[in-house]
Amino acid sequence: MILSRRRFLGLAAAAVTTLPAAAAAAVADFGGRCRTSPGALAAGQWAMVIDSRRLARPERRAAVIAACHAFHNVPDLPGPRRVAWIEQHSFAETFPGLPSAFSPANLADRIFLTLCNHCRNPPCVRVCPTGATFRRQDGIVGMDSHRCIGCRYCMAACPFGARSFNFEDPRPAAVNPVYPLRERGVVEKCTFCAGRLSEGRLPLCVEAADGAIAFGDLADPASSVRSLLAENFAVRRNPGLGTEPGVYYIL
Amino acid sequence: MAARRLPFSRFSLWLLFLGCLSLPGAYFYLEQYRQGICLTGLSRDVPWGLYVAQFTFLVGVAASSVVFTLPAHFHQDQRFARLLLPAESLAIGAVFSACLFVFVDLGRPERLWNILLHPHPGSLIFWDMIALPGYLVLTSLLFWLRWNRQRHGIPPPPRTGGLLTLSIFWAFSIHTLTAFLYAGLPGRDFWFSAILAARFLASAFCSGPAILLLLALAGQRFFRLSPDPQALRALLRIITYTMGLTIFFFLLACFSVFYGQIPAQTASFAMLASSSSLPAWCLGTALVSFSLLACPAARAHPVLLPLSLVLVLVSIWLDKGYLFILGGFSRNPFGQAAFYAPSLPEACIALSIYACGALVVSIGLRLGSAEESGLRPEPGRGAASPGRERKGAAGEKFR
Repeated sequence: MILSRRRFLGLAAAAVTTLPAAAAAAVADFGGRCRTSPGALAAGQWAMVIDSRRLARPERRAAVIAACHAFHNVPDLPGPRRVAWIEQHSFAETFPGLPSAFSPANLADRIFLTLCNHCRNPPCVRVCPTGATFRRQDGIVGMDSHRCIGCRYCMAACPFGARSFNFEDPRPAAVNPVYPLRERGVVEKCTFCAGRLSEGRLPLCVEAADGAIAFGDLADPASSVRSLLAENFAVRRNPGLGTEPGVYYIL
Repeated sequence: MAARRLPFSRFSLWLLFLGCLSLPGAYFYLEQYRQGICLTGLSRDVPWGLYVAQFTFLVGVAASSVVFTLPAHFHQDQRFARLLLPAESLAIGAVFSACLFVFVDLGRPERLWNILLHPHPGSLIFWDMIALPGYLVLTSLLFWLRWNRQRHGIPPPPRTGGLLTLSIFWAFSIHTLTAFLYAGLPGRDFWFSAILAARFLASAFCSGPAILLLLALAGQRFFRLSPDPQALRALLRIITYTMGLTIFFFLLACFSVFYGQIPAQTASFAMLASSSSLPAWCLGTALVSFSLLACPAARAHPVLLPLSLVLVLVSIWLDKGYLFILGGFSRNPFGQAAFYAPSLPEACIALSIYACGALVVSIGLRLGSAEESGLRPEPGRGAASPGRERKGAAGEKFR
């Protein structure tokens, strides 16, 4: 049988429209299950409490940032296209709407560390079209940069400015061969050092802060973060948005 | 006269011109693919810019074909039925360009299929990935069926009714989806508005017909076409009312923001308004074009009518094609004003995608511009007759 051109074009059009859908159905993943290694730190909901009073000195904050960025090979790009997992911002910038004209001077001038809040209800995860960013059972909002298509919807959705995009190749910045480097065109952010937790170690910023940052399980009443939150009034960034941030600040 | 001695028709020269127009953009896109999105003016604070804005504008233009399909199909309105081929050509070109704009915006375009390989229906981009190519296929199919019957002089069979009904609902859906991309993000106060989808649809329904009407008016010279006065009047009425609705819906959003006086919301409007003079131009052109369109004397005027249509397009392009996206990012999550201006490579890429879209629309208009079309040839014009012969010859080749 000889296909007429018209019939061939019709068949080709039908194939082009149905094949991607069939391929997608064939290889669709059914949700990743995570395994924990022996000796790994586990939690119901990881959370962080930052005592901003004890990080008032600039060199202490710089040490925390350097520890994170050096290990994770975060490129040092200045300006509006910077990549940052943990940053410094003023009181008014960190908590817009919170300061008044009569706030104490030591608070108004204080600089705060800002990072991914690992929200319990993360909008970035909701909007990601590929599941490249996901919320784990222990509350960590992870990032698979190999699946990321670089649409930057998560950056538009994050109300905390915690996400960075690799506008250019970060490669010359590589110094630490232990940690994988990202590529241009993908989004990255703080992972609460998920890799270190699986080795039984605390996040780098927690170690570098020398007690000024506590990290623990919010679901465990005996955890360090729970006792800190019970003893001190702590605030979260923009809690009214309902994202349930997991990073608390003692003012 | 000189054009007639060339081995090419004026139409092929026009296509060649569009092809050349897309070359710098193609070069810059290869560079962008090689170097990264750093070639654009985008930043950490403004992760979406010109590309996503053009996508928003063009999905509206594509959805506006419903202005013709709905009355033609549901109400058997012949004035609109005769305009379906040009309207579908415009929709095909617009949705094709919109898809290209999404593609060039991706940091990792080769991983596009991850959206289907790892589907996340909670993300609106997943639905866009289905809706936009789906609309392209659906509209192309309807165009092909209609064009095929028209050139053979066969009346349309009733079996396409289901496809037409589907395309009407699909058109509303694609632009509602576009609005949902923005309208549900916590912390993006400029976008967080329930009226957004209605506002988008209203402005879409005047932008698409305005382009088509301008093409029809220009067509008297360039496309050897003249608009059916009945269809023209009906279209103008639709453009006027939907432009009025667009302004009204915008004012509704403004009321909530400025009467409510929630600082984050007022700040996002104020920071956008103070960033440049473009918001003032957007509002100004909207008000002037609506006033002109609402005035019967201006509607009948040979210069004021095209002028008001151009102003409609300028206003809606400034809104959806530029300022609306910036508004969402005008105030960054730290409460500071963010800056964005498209780079030259970015603008060239955008221009080349528009050239590709125009190429598709031109071919569609050319195929669809037969006697039966509402944009029918004008028999009285001297320049029209040799052109019609040439077109007839081209028509033979397609058979």
